[in-house]
Amino acid sequence: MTEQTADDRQLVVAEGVGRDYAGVPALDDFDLVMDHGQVSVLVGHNGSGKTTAMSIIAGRVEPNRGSVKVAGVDVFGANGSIAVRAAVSFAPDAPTLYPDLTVSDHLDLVGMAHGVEDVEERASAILERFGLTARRHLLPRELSRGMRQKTQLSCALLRPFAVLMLDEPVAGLDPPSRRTLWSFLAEAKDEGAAVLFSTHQLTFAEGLADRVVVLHEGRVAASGTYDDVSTSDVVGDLGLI
Amino acid sequence: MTAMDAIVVDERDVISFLRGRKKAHDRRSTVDRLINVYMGMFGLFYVGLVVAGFVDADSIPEPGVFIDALVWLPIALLGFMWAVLRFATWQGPVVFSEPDLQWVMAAPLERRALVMMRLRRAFVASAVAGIIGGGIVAVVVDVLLGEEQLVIFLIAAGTFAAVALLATALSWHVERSVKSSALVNRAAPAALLLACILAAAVATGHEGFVWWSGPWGWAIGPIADRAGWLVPGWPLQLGLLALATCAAVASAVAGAGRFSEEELWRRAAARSVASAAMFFGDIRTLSSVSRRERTGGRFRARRSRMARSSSPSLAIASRDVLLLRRSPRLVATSVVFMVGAAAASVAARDHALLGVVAFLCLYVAASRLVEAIRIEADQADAHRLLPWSWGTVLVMHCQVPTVVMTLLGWTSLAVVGLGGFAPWTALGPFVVVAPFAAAAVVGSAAIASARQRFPVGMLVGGNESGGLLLFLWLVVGPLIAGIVLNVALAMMRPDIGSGVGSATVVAAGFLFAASFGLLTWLRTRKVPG
Repeated sequence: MTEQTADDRQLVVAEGVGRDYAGVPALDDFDLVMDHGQVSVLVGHNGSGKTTAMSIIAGRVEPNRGSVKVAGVDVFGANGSIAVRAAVSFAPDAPTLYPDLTVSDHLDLVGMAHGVEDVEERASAILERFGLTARRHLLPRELSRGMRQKTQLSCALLRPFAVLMLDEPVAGLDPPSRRTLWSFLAEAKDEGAAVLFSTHQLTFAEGLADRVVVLHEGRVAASGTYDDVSTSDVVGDLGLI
Repeated sequence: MTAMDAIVVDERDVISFLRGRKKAHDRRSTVDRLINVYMGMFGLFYVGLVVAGFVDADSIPEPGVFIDALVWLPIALLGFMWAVLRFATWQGPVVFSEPDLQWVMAAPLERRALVMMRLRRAFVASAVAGIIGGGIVAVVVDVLLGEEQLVIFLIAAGTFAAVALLATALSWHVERSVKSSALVNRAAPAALLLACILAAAVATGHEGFVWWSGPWGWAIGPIADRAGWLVPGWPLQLGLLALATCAAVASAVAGAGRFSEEELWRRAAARSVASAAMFFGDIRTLSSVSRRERTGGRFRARRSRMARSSSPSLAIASRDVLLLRRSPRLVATSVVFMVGAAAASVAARDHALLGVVAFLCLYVAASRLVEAIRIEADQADAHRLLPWSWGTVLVMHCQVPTVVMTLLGWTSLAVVGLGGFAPWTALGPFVVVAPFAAAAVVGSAAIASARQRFPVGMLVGGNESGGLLLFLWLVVGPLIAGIVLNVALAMMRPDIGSGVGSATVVAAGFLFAASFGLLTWLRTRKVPG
């Protein structure tokens, strides 16, 4: 068995990424490396650049500067598209659901589009853990905001992925659902996936994050392990804890 | 299998699965469907009535009139093509919904095939629309000139369909690229200039230039030749049009797999609002969404700040000044209409109808400046943050537009005087009454603008007076202003009363009283909704 090099372990490499909106930088000089089996957390205030950073890594928003590679494939390159989409599962902050599809329809659709063979079994397990089983035949308008969020997260977790990215996944979730989500993330980590999620509160990263990146006004203000970052002056100054 | 290995799934299976599930939850009843069919047939019936009315022998204009008008058709086609390209800067022929982008386009499927499904549909729809448009022209030519039906139909339907396909193909290039969208946004003055050049060419008898100026001319040249214009190279025009269309369609198909995902997300976000606004005929929402989507997030917003007013009562005026500074287009269009009003007034001495045009331009100039009142009505509850009643806020919003209209009026009078279009002695009384007239017109526009949007339900709810209500809704502002200004003008006529000076004073007094009445009435208004 050959020894894995550092480059082989790196699933996501973002270098010098920057994006401007209306001439104002929303993200600037952003670097991030995500390894297999590692959970990274983006922490910051509203408008700090968390969503922009995640959208760029997911290939939804094009950067003005810098490059992003997923498993060595350029996210915005001509040939990388299908491979990147197969690898990255991204759930944005607002639930984006079909108004005329039920919860289980969404899971079936995602399972089919990603070629998941045991969709029913996997979907049932995820819905059960999120407490959605009884509501699987309801339409989005019949669900609360938190239920819609859990439906979206279920879809993101159902499909195969190498990189899981969740933008503010705990917004609207009750504590039991949050614990369930944490258990899913821990399982994904154990299976070798690279996980990235964003939050306003540093405490949500405790016990789960291998790496924390604090964003402030589009720039990396601090980064390191949870212990390093939580004891830094930056976090206290920004009131993130 | 790892997640990095793309799984081959046929996108047609996914789309057909999606459609099937959607259909299973479609809760529209048979009655709902029948109503849709009824509405569609009702629309066709109306179109049929219009066509039948035209074809009716008694109402057919002289053939010469139509033949002369044919030379203007290329400008109309240029306008159509420009509108399609402009539409593509914020919507376009391939618009996905947000869930489609989130769950289908984000899957490892062949995106080109997914885009092609929509692009193909857009091509078919545009070709059908072109054939219908060309068919109508063919019917008119046939009825007026007795041309050979089949030949003229084939030419007209073919060329119109080609122009529609060409516009759709180009619009996909606009939609899929940030740079192309920005280019079209910036090219509006160039398109307008081209239309002006074509109009000048028509007006000066250089039709040859119009026929050969581009696809819009190539499409009409062959029809015009059969209708009596001399367009000797029309077969070449047909060839050029076919070539351009085929090249554009081939290029669009080739580029179906290359697009900016960000652009599709931006269009998806606007799609539901745009669809609802189109369905309800809400032009204001449609225009604000299109403006926001065309410019949003790309250009630096104007950083002008609100001036600190010394008195709380000037807060609304300061806010209105800020709005006009941040949206100079409002003032610019107001100036354009004021120029139109002045020009039409000068020409009205020879053509009485131009007096009506002058008045309408004046009213539109004022209505552009009361945008703050429309914004207030759009979010009527927001006024509760202010220490004044709804009616008082509306009256306060009339201050800045009245001042601006007065200044525009005086400037127009000065230009008319300096240009020698009217003697200074004739303009003097208008200089005196201008502020009062401005207040009256702004007050009328304010009354019309403070009502929120027309409840379209009245039109489609089966009430046969819906059309009349819409008409009254639209004319109430101009009607009030028209009555007030006409009475004042009648008072200023030199043959009525003792002299110019006293007539001016009486007219100014009347306008003051009318403005006071309008603003008092405005002050009594209750919060809409």
